Amino acid sequence: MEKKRETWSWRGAFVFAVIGSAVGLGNAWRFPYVVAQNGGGAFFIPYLFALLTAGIPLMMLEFGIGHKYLGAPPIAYGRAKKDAEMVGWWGVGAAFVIITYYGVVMAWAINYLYHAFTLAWGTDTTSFFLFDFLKLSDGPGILGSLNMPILAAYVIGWILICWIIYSGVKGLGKVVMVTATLPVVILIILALRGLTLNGAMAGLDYYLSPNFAALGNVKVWMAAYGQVFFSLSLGMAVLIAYASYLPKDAEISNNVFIASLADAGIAFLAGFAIFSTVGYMAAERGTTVAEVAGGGGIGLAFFVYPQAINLLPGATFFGILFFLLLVTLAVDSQFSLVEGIVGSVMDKWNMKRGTALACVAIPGFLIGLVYVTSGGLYWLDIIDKFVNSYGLVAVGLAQCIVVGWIIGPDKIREHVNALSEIKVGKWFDFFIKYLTPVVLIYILISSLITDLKVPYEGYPGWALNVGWAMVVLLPVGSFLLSKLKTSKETEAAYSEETNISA
Amino acid sequence: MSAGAWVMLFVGAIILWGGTAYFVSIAMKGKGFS
Repeated sequence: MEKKRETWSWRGAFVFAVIGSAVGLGNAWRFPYVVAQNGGGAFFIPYLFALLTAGIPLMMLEFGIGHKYLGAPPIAYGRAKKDAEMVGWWGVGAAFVIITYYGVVMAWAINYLYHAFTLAWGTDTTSFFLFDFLKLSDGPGILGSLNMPILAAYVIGWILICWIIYSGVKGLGKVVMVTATLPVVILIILALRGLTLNGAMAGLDYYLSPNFAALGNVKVWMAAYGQVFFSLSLGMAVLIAYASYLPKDAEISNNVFIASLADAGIAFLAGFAIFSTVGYMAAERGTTVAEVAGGGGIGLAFFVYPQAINLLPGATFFGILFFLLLVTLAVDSQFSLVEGIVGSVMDKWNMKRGTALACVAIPGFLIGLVYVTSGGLYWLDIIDKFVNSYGLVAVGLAQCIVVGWIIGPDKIREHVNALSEIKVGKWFDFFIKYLTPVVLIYILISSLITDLKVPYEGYPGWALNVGWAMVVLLPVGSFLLSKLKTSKETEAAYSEETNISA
Repeated sequence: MSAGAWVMLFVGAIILWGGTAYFVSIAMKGKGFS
C-alpha cells in the first residue's frame, strides 16, 4: 500500500522547527565569544556578509532540494541525479557523528540543571566541572569507567529524544513550539537581568565595540563563515528532511529569510545575556572583561557561567533558568539531527518510523557511551573539531558542486520561485556555482594547513588520526550506502505524489 | 559604552531583529498563517 508522506500541521510549525534546529548551544555560547575574539562589533560585517553569501543561499538550496524532490537528503539527491545520492548520505553521516556526542552535552546540561537547585558547583567551578563532575582522566588514552550521573541523564535524554521522534512530524510540530520559543524567552529574561547589573555596560562595550583593523584578518572571515555555517545547521541533513515534510504548495524563500535572520538575531540577543553578566562578574572581581571572557567552547558554559551565576542576586533561580535554557537548546538540536537521519533511513528502505528510529538510536547511544567515560571530554573535543572543521564544510561544498554544476541551480530557483512570496534572483545561481564553493574551498584549505602545522590542542597524533579517519570514512561510507538499493515503495510513492520523472 | 558600540548595536538590531520582523510580517499576510 502506498504511504502518504507526513507533513507539518501548519506553516508556523515548520518555521519554529527550523529555528529550533538552528538555535543551539553555538548561538547561546559560541557566538558571543566568536564575536569578541574577532574584532567585537566589526565582526558583524563579515558575519552578515557570510550570512548573505553562504548561509541564505545554502539554506535555500537545502530547502529547495528537500521540497522539490520530496525526500530526506539521500533520496532527494538521488532523485535529482542518480549518482548524487552519496552527497545526501554524507550529510546524514556527519549528523550521526554529531548526535553521538550531542547526547552527552545534553546529559551534562540535565545534570547541571539538577545541580543548579543547590548551586553544587561551589566557588571553584572549573575544578568542579572537570574533576568532581566529569572525573576527567589524564588523556584520551585513558577512558576509565562510565560516569554514573552522566549515564543516567544520557539515558533519560535519549528516551526523551526517541519519544519526540516516535510521535512523528505532527508531534514534532507541537514540541518545537516549546523548544524553540522557551530558549528565546529565557534569553530575554537573562538579558534583561544582565543589563540591570553593575558593570553590564563594560561587558557590552567588549561585545560590541568595533575593531575595524580585524577586517583585514583572514581568520576573522573564516570564523564568520564557520559560525554561519554551523549555526544554521547547514550540511547536517536536517533542513532537507524538514523541507520534505512541507505541503506541496508551501512557501520556501521567505521561510529561509525568517529562519536565517531569526537564528542570527537570537545569537545577537544571547550576546547581551552573556556579556552583561560577564561585565558584572569582572566588576565584582575588580578585573577586566577580556580576562573573564577569554577562551571559548562548549565546556566554558559549564564553568564560566556558573561563576557568574554565583555572583547574581537570586543565584538559584537564574542558575535553574540558564541550565533549563541549555537543556532546551540541546534537546531541539538533538532531535532535529536524529529526525534528519531517521527520515533518511525511512525513505531509503521504506521502514516504519519505530524501526528506523531503533536503527539510528541504538548505535548512536552505544557509540556515545565513549563520551560518558572519564576520557570522554577529550574525544568529544577531537570529534567535534574534525566534524565541524571538515565534515560539514565538505558536505556544503559537495552540495554546491552537485547543485551548481550537475543538477543546475536554476532548477531549484525556479521551483522555489513558483511557490514563494519573495522571488529569488539569479544571484542564487552565482552564489551556488561560484562564490560559496570558492569560500568553502578556501576555509577547508586554510583549516588543513593550520591543523597539519600544529596538532590540535596538542593531542597525541594517534588520537587526532581517529578524527582524520572519521573525516575520510564519511564520504567512503556514504558512497557505499548510496549503492544499496532503494525500496520500490519509496520510488512509487514519489511518482504518485509528483507525477513527474526525476 | 563607546559610540561605535552603540552604532553596532543599532545596525545589528535593525538588520537581524528588524529583518526577522519584516519577513514575518510578509509571511503573516501570506499562505499558511491566515
